[in-house]
Amino acid sequence: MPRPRTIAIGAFALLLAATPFIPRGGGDDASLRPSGQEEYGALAATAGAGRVTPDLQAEIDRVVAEGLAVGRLSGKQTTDALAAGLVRCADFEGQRYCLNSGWTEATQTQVQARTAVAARTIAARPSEAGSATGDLDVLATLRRQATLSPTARATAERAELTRAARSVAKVWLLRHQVEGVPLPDGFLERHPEARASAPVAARSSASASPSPTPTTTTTRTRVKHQIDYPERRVILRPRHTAEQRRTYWCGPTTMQMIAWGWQDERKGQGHWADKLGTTSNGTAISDMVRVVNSSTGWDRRDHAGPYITLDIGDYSFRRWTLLTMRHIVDYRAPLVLHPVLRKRYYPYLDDDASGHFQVGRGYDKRGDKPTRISYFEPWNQQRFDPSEPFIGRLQWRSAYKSYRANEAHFQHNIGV
Amino acid sequence: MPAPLRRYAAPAAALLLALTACSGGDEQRPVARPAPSSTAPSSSATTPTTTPTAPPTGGTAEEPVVLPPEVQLLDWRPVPGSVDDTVTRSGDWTLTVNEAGTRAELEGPDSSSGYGSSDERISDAFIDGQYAVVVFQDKQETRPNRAEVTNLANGRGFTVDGSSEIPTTTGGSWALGQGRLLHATVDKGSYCLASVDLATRRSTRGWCAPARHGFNSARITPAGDSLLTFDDSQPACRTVVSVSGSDVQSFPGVPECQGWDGLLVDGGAAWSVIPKENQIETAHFYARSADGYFDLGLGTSGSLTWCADAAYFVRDPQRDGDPAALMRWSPDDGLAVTYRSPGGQAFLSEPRCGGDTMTVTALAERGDEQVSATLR
Repeated sequence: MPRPRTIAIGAFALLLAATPFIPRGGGDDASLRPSGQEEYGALAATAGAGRVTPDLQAEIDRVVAEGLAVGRLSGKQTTDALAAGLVRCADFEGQRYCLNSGWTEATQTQVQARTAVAARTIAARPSEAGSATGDLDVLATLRRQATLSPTARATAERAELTRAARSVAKVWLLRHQVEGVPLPDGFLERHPEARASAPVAARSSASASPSPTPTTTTTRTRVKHQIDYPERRVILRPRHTAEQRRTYWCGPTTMQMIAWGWQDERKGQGHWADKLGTTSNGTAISDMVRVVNSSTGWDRRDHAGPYITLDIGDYSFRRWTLLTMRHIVDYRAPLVLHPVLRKRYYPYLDDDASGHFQVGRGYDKRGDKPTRISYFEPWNQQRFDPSEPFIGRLQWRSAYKSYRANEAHFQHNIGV
Repeated sequence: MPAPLRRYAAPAAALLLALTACSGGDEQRPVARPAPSSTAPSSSATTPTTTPTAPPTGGTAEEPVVLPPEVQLLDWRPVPGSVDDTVTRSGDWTLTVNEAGTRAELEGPDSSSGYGSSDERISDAFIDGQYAVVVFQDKQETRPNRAEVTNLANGRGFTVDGSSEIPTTTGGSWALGQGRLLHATVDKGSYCLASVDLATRRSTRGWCAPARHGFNSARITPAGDSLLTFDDSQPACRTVVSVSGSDVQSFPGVPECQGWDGLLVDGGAAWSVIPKENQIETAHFYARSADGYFDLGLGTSGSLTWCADAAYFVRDPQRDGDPAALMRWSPDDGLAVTYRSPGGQAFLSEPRCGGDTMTVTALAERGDEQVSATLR
């Protein structure tokens, strides 16, 4: 046998022998996923709220102390100063959480920079936001925080950081399950709330008569791909929908529909506006996530676990869709969609509008056709403008259009 | 947003009956025999075919003939600048609205000018080779819209606003074409259509919507003006109409209450209907000519646009891996694909006509692009 052919056959045999040890594609279907799946055999579908360890507490204290050192702020300061003073980030076990922004893989400097740019644009041109449907813009968010006294701000920041620290296991699990990121060594020892067999923590406000059926937690988990999910799945009932009664109440109306789906009881939009701290400037996504956690059971461990604000700025469409499927099928819980309501993404609109909230509640893979998502739309353009026809609250649309509308929001984040 | 104006309500039972009666089926429809094709490879561009072909023969309103599209890609050229800006090319002229919708730049072969103010945003921007029009809306949408009109031939301009002979109103639909500008106005409490002759600057009031009705999607073509009218029921009963003076007439052959887009062509029309109200962005397009009725297939609601001598609309990918497409229909040439987006997941924003130039923006996984092509 010629020598080159012998070498080639030998190399091929070696490759075949080594194949079982090569890491395979992960959550994004095309990316790598960790080998050694057995290590994660006891993982739950999601994690409940964890405890604040001394390390986490120390990080909370550090970030809060930085804010106290900034001292008194006012809404009249430059947007750069506001972003630098108010958008500070904590490192919780290797995951970054930024105040007034959420969980992100961007650096603190990057988050501060994009926040400052967005705020500067709004400050320079008050009409930037277009028709505001109720998403609190970044400038209003910063000014709201800046008007607090240093002590009051520190209290608010400590509460926000503590909620974030208690959800760090959920963040790790999501990154593992959707992004294919390996879990750190000793993860389950540090986070029993992520174990499949962990007891479901008792809840206070939202434990009464939940309508959805309980989840069966898995005893063995593996990273799932889109192909692992059913062809079509929806949650929430179409009759549990409402249109926003004020132009800036997309947050309260989205919250109303999410809570209605949990409790089978409709509470008024004014009720939710109070809980969310909504003003005529709108509602912050951090408040949406906070109230979903405090006022519904969707955050239970047998559903989504504690809701978080997740930066999807570096998500591919495939990964974003996988996150949606995971939420609908595995969590059986709604998503807080956070798009910009512009004509380029929503062609039925008569005008461009602002950042916006919607309720994500389903998807349809449609075989070889492009995937669609289902959502509840609080914005009835006809209510506020006679030159626009009525649009139904329940809509199905191209998932890619919704992904691009989410990415186009300067915060490019989502409540999951 | 303007104060709520509640003025509609069709009897629910009648609406239900209409919707039930209009629901479409999936039955097979006759398919037009393909005309001699000028099909080009998807990756190459061709100029529109000039080969004389017999116009396809249509069907009836109940059984329109399905038109399979030919591929006649235009010679698309990249538009300089950010894809986030909304650009409309018109020959040597370019009208650009920035991403924030706060400023417009009009650039011509020998001049340029800018439009913008701090408390307004741009709701519409048109250019057609003769005029450029930039429409402003105040942030709170409490004041009447303001349109800045520029005559491209001499650079002279004038304003149409709430103090005009026929005043503008808050929001509403605008259209430019045939030397005229259409806008909404309120007259004695009625919501009406107004037309401005741009050469004489004279305005006339046209049709007024009945109580509890509204309209939008104004279109101007050489064959006439059209609107989408609707009532305040939920879902709305939507009717595509042609407008002549103070009269309107429903497009023939359009299922009752299901219309969305519409425009007139010589001896016919093109329009769309919404088959499912919970998929409001997915429309089914149809056309009528002297040769009968045609089924043009699915497209994106709100995208029907007249340009040069044909109707255009946008189609989302129908299969994974398909491109988004800009479709063209005319009575003489039938249906054609004139643009394909970069591959992967994709969609197109509303096409923008600049007289004899079309501009489209594609948002696609494999790269966004904004391109324009000369149509004749």
